[in-house]
Amino acid sequence: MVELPQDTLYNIFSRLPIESLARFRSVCKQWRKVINDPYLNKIRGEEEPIPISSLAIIKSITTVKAEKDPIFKFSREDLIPGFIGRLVIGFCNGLVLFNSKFILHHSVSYIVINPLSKQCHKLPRIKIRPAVRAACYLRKSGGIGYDDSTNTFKIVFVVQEIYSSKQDDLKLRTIVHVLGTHTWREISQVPSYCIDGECVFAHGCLYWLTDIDRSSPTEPRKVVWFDVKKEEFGLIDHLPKQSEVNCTLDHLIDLDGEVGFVCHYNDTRSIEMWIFKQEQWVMHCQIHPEPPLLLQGVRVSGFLNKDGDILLTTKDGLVVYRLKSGRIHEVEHEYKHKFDAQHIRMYRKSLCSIHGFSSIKN
Amino acid sequence: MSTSSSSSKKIVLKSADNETFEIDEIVALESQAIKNMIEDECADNVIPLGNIDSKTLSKIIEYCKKHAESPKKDDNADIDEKAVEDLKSFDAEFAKVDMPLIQDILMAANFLNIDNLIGLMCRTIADRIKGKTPEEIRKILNINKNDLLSPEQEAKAREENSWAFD
Repeated sequence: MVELPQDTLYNIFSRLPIESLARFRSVCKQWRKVINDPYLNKIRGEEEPIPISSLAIIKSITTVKAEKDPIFKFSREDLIPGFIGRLVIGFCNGLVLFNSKFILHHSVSYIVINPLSKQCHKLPRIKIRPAVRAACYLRKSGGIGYDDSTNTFKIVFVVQEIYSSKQDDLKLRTIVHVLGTHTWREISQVPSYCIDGECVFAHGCLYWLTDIDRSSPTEPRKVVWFDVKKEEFGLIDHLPKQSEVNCTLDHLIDLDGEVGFVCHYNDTRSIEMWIFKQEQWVMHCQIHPEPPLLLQGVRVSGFLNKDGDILLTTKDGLVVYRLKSGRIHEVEHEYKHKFDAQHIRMYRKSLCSIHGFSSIKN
Repeated sequence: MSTSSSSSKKIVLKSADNETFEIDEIVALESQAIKNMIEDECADNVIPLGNIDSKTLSKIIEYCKKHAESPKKDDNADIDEKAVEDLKSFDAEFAKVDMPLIQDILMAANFLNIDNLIGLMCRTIADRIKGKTPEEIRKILNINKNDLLSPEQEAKAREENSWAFD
């Protein structure tokens, strides 16, 4: 009996649930190496043997697993003492990019975390000077993506110079960081619009909504994408329904590896969910929250499972929207702390290791 | 396949322990490696397989025979569901062998480049090891003793798991 070759290990591991893989990291060095490899996560994604359901409450880094759907079990644990995740910037293959703050340091920095393996990596400081002296400050929007041609994670920021006096020309710059290296590099490519909000990674590209143009607020929003491998920007020039006066909240969302668009409508008291498939926006569902559930407090967190059921967070907890029946059910959970709907996300668990991992100490 | 009408053409495979197996060419063509050899006309009447023993080779031939007989998915014709079910239950029965043989078949399937069989064997191994502990895995599979983690590394890995899982 001979040892299994590495190719075969990838093949076998792509068919295993993440709980088994986590345990198997201690079998031997070769197995650990394969399980830590982001590439395994890529092929597992194509062959996911288990439901997606896993969610992270970002504020205190709590991860959750669905026990028996839809019962959730929470494990509350502060990842790094004194660390407060402030703003989620994006998710990619089980890693989360945040804008973060340390209680002791009073400093804001960018951090990449794998909530499952507790790995955490602080990115090098972004040193970029405004091209024009009059610039007040630099506004940064970004995301994290995976380049399968080099098996690396790339973090991308679009930097906008904000002026106190109104300037007509839009001054944007793009910087890229490869996870595990020590520098940021500026590239010549810039998007044709300002970008805003959380980033979604899908099919090798990062996606953002364009910023609301304050000079012409009725101008429909678009979607900017960035090809992580080629380092090029592009545009989806329409959304399913152009942002109307009645739309109170819209955002992009990761729907099991596809780009989703969520829009809340006040007039019809409904939430619409769309998926971008083959260059088209396809309606996934229309949710009508009924009292006592209020439209305002509800936020779509993502797909709960492969059936397309959806996890929603409310002011009081979690609810599940069943796609087949069109009904909303409450979710049992043991979480004793108050929910902050803004900080709950569904994400794909992975064990991939953060290259160049360095632990952060207070 | 142009040869399907004249499927009487025979290929002889010779195992590491010098046993010969005469099979229809159509069965041999399930192996992408043998198919390439035949197409490149570099296959003699007898194809020696110096790294596959006769026990493993006879299992592989059993598999290829069954799959060569069954209608292919990409034939696009109406595949009757019964045939699909039949093949499924054949695969399930086929995989009911001990772990060393599974691994030998897998290695041979890798060498002969038989995609379906590689998939079946990997799935079987995955199913069998899914619920096992690392210690059990080391017993079931052939893990290189020089590749084990240091006690510190192992303790660290366990600690991470206790956090993420029960």
